[in-house]
Amino acid sequence: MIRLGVVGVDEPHCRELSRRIRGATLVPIRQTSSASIDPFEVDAVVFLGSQLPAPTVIEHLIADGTHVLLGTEYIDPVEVLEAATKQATTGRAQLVVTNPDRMLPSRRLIFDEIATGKLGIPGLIRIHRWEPVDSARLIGPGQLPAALVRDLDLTLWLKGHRPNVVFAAGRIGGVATGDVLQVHLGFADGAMALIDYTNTLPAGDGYQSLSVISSSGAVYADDHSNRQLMFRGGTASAEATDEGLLPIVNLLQSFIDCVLTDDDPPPAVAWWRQVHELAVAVRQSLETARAVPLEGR
Amino acid sequence: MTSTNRFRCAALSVAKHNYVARGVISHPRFELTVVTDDPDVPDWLHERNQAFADANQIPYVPNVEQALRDFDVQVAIVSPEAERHCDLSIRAALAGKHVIQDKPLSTSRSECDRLVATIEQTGVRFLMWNRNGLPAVQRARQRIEQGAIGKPIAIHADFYFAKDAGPPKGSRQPGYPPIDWLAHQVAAHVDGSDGGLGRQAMGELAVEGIYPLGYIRLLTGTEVRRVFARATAHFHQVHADNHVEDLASVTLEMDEGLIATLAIGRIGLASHPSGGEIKLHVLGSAGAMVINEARPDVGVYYRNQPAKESRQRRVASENDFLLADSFAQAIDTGGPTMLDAIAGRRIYATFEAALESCRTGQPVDVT
Repeated sequence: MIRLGVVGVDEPHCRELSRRIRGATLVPIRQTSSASIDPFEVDAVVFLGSQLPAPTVIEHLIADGTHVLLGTEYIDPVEVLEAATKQATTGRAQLVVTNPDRMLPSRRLIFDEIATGKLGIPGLIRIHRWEPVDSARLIGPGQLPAALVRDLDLTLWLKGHRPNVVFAAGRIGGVATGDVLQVHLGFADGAMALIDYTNTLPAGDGYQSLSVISSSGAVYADDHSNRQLMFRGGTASAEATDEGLLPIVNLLQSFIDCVLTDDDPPPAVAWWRQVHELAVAVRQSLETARAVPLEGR
Repeated sequence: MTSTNRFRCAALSVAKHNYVARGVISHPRFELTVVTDDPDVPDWLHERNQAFADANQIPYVPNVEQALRDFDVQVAIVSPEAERHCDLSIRAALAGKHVIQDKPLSTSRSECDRLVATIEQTGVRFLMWNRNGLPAVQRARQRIEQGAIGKPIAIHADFYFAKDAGPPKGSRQPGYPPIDWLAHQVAAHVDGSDGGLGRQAMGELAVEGIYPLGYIRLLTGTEVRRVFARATAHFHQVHADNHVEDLASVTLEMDEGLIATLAIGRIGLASHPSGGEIKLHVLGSAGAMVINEARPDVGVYYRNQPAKESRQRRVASENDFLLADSFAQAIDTGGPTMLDAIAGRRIYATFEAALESCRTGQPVDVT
């Protein structure tokens, strides 16, 4: 049993998570400064949500032998991640960086179905992600919306390797006008991906859809299909049945298991460098209005 | 007062899609009077023409000009092999007949241009058959026109047909000759798995792309200026052997900064229980909408259900009626049709540019 400090989740949610987790006691942590996290109180710390810890916080935690999970799109800059990974490798702590979207039950199912081979070779990955206006947050050297970076990671994860060409269109308007972006990827085996992202929806619900068209089958995960009707006069409204706490439960449990069994964490630096390069290529394509070739597999 | 006079129609070849002719004559103002074609078409085509004529208890006349003249026709319904689409439409227009034509518009740009010039010169009405009258699409159009989501700023179309097309890619043994495109399509007609019918092989962009691009035109009212595309033969041996795509993705840059995308493919029967996922995602300046093109539908499931039978059956479609009705009004008033020759030519140019983009790896202007 380990003591797991959780940053970025409020206490009621933390209590709910505790009831679903094996092998750890959860300790909610409000502040992310190094001084506020007592290494004698926790064995490991997980950072969730959009507030990334400062590099020095990670450095201090790892130096104290505290395992760290970054449940975020941590790529800015990759060198910080590289240094922290080296520090963790030589020390006795684990550092894990995971895109939390990979832990959505729907995305795990899709990944697993592809991995079994029953769907054949993925030919087209299609993602729609629409967010409300207040969710704009640009990250990394590509200065792209954080959620789009997570979708780039998700696409690479599902396809298994990097593309050889990137084309992007749209606008990054920031808070004033919002971002409307379209990313088009081509892979050396002829496969392709289309990622549609915006944060211009009116305040309220967002929308996500992911489909993978493969050579002998297809998968479709779409918020459109997972809506329930509500009748309160006038036009009916559609309310989401989302995936609840399970994405975070999955994220925490896989990290706890990794710590308890002392398994090697999945390689983070090389992977995130790949995502970083892709994000830079997207930005370059947006600025030049040209397709950007990449060294693909 | 609404006109009720009837239009006498000739089916100019029913090489593949007799659904166009059937769709037109489902409207009470249109009646089919003759099936016709050129005398030198292959025997299999004469047989199909004759069978359709027999089914409708009308004559089959293997001489187009004679049939148009002798049967006092006002409307030509054109559905031969793709290479002959424009030629038959042009001959009908030059004879003063209004034209309803099957997809694709053509297999060559020069034929598209010749058609557009002829339609303008003769002043007849021309309609590219399309799906813009489907209830879900009409509803989307109505809501956009009402301002429900503000001004459209991005639109994304998924247009997948869950159909097979002969043996899967990779199934041909080394040393075997490539599958002949036309022979395959003619033979596949029996079970409805035929695709673009013609001597020249056609990918899914050319064959089916008219539909989603028709939606995008309808819902945005703007023109495509530049495209970036990727395409591949991912599923079917006949496409791989003939070097045409069965899966494609296109980014479209349009007037007024509007962005659109298209994902299109003939993705195999196993990939969807009901014929294929077809959706529209429309982002506006004040909201957005997600449209399932197949709605309304009814689920039908039973023991020993054939694999090819759709589980979700579309209902309440008035697409045929709306297309024919608007065409009748266009004839009555000299007004526009739901998808005219200029729009068809523009769609052809979009796919031509998309295929060029696939070859060059760069975005290409649509001209």
